[in-house]
Parts: sequence; C-alpha cells; structure tokens
Amino acid sequence: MYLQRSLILSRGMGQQSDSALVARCQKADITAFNEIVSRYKGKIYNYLYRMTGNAEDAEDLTQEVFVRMYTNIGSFRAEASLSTWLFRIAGNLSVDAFRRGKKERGLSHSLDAPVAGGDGEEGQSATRDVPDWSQEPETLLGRKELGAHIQAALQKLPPKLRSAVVLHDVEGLAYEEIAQTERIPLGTVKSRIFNARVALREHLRPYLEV
Amino acid sequence: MTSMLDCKKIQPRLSEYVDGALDGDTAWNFKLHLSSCGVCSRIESELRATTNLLRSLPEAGPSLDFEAKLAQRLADQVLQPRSPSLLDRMRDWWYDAPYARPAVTSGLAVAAILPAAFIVFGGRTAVTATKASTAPPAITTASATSGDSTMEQVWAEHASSDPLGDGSGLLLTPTSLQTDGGTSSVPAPDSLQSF
Repeated sequence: MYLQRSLILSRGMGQQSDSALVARCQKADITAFNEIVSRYKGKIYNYLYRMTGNAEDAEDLTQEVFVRMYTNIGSFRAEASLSTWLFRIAGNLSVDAFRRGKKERGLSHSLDAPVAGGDGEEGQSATRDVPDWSQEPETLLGRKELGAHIQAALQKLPPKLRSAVVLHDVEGLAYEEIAQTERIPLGTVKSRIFNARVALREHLRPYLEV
Repeated sequence: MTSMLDCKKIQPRLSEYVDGALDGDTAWNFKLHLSSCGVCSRIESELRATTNLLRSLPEAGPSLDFEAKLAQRLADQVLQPRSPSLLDRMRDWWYDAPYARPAVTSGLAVAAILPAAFIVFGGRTAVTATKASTAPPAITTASATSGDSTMEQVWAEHASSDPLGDGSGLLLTPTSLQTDGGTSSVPAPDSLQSF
C-alpha cells in the first residue's frame, strides 16, 4: 500500500508540464520529445482516426504530426498550448489528406471492423490497441456495429464540421480551445458543432435512444 | 406561452444547452421553454442522444510499434530542432514589443504611401513641365480655340437632332453598340476634329 502510494506520488511529481517539456525539446532533448509523444499520441491518433475513418492513414498522419512538431519546435511559441498546436497540425494534415483524396477509402481498414491478423500487411491490424471493449461477445458485436455506423456518419460530414464535433465530443476540448485550434471565432465553433450534431442526428436516428 | 419566435431563438442554441454552456438565467429560460414545447424538447433530446453516442466511441490507439516507427522516420532526418528563422525572430520581436507596434505600423504605412505619392504627384508635375516647355503658346491657343468651336458645333447638332428620339440625348445604347459589331457608332473625340 505504502509502496503503491509512493509510486503514484513519484509519478505525479515526475510529471512535467507541457511547457517545460517543450522548453527541453527546444534544446534538442530527445527524452522530452519522447515524453510528449507518449503523452499525446493517443489523443492525436484518435482525432485523426475519427477524421479520416482509416486506421492506416491515421497512423501515418500521427507520425507526420510528431515529425513536424519536432522539426518546427524551434518556432513554437507559448501563446497556444502544446495540445492546441498539435491538434492544429493534425487538423491541417487531415484536410490536406482529404484534398489529396487519400482518405474516403471506406471502412476496410476501420478499427471497428473485425480484427483479423494478417490481412496482407504483416498482421498490422492485429496489433491495434483498441481498449475498452466489453468481454461479452454480443455486446462486442453490437458496439462494433454501432461504432462503425457512427464513424460512417462522421465521414458524411464536411471536414470543418467533423473536426469541430470530434474535437468537442470525442476529444473533450472546450469551445475556446477549438476556437484557438481552428483559428475561428467562438460563434463559428458553436454553430459548427450544432450543425454537425443536427446532421449526425439524421444519419444516426435509428440508434438514438430518446 | 410558447411562441414560434422562442423556438427560432432557442433551437440554434440547443447544442450549447446540451453542453451546459449557457449561463444560469438563459439555461433556466431554456428549461422553461422546453417543458412547454414538444418540438424543441424532442430536438433537444435527439441532440443529447447524438452527443452521448459520440462520447461513447471507444478511444482508438496507434499501433504498438508506433514509437519505433517514428524513431525510424526521425533517424533519416536531422535530429536537431530547426533554429528560428529570420521571420520567426521578427515575429517573436513583434509579439514581445507591443509598445513598438504603432511606430512600426506608421513607418510601414509612410514607406508604402511615399512611392505612390511620388508617382502620382511627381509624375504629373513632370508631364506639365514637359508640355509647357515644348508647346508653342500662340499656335496652341489658336488650335484649341478652333477645336473648341468644332466641338461646340457638334454637340449643338447632337442636342437638336435627338437621334434616338427618346429625349435623353444619349447616343450610346446597348443596341447601337451591338449593331456596330461591338464598336460605338459615336465618333471618338479624336475623330470629331475631321467633321
């Protein structure tokens, strides 16, 4: 018990702020860079996965986010938070990918599709880290199906609306943080989230439990 | 009690209401309206259910060898963060020195206006000076007078003849432009000299 508490305490004390990590990273401290990657890879990947609807693209783009972060860390200023900056890079990359037509390849690589090891790509899909599934097979199937429908509905939204609603409802960013990330007025954030939800409501009507 | 105006005002902000982002009084008014309006109440419930669906999505994670792949990618690059460029430094200075911004802005504005002012006013003065130095004054006056009288005659004929019959005195109409193959039927000022 005492050991467990001391471990938690030491972990808490060892947790550096983002700005401290950025300062160290700006001095080419690779350990700080690794810490930032470890802290944000899940959030950025999740956002990009919901934006692209494709696990492979999300992985590539998440890698690109951190490459760009590293190469541009010298010009990062503390006016925006690290989180805001990373989501902004991720958003721009996803829009670029959308424009290039790289995305919209359906849900064949979706995380919500059945996880089968070895679909030709070195069993990559088998190593996906997909937490929080229930152990009951029926619930698992139901959730997967529902997840796939929600993802399909998200893909039908214009990228701007999708980004706003994903940042808010999936990533849990506040309106103000989204305004900073997207560099748009607060009112625009609110209207985008509203419009996105109205559109999603139509696509997901059979699954709404009102 | 429930009016259409209320619904129009309330519906676009139902999303904020669902998020609990409205202030206390506004949220209370929304609650009152929703308790008496079936349409808005249904929309609010559906928006809330949609939001709950999105929030129930499982968090997807990258592959287990994400860091290894990233390290591989970075190994091909220079592992030193880029030093700030001149533009970055200028931007830093701009943010760090708000007191200097008005002076810099004014200076830039003057620097932008001065060449334009020189071109407009300086150029005009130079042309006038050139004309004054090259044209013989007596002949210029005579030809100008003769030109003016010709112009007056033409315009007098034009005013009296009323070629369009509409009393407007206008010669140029879309019709006349079209029938002349896109060119005006009115003689150009230069050709008036030959009348």
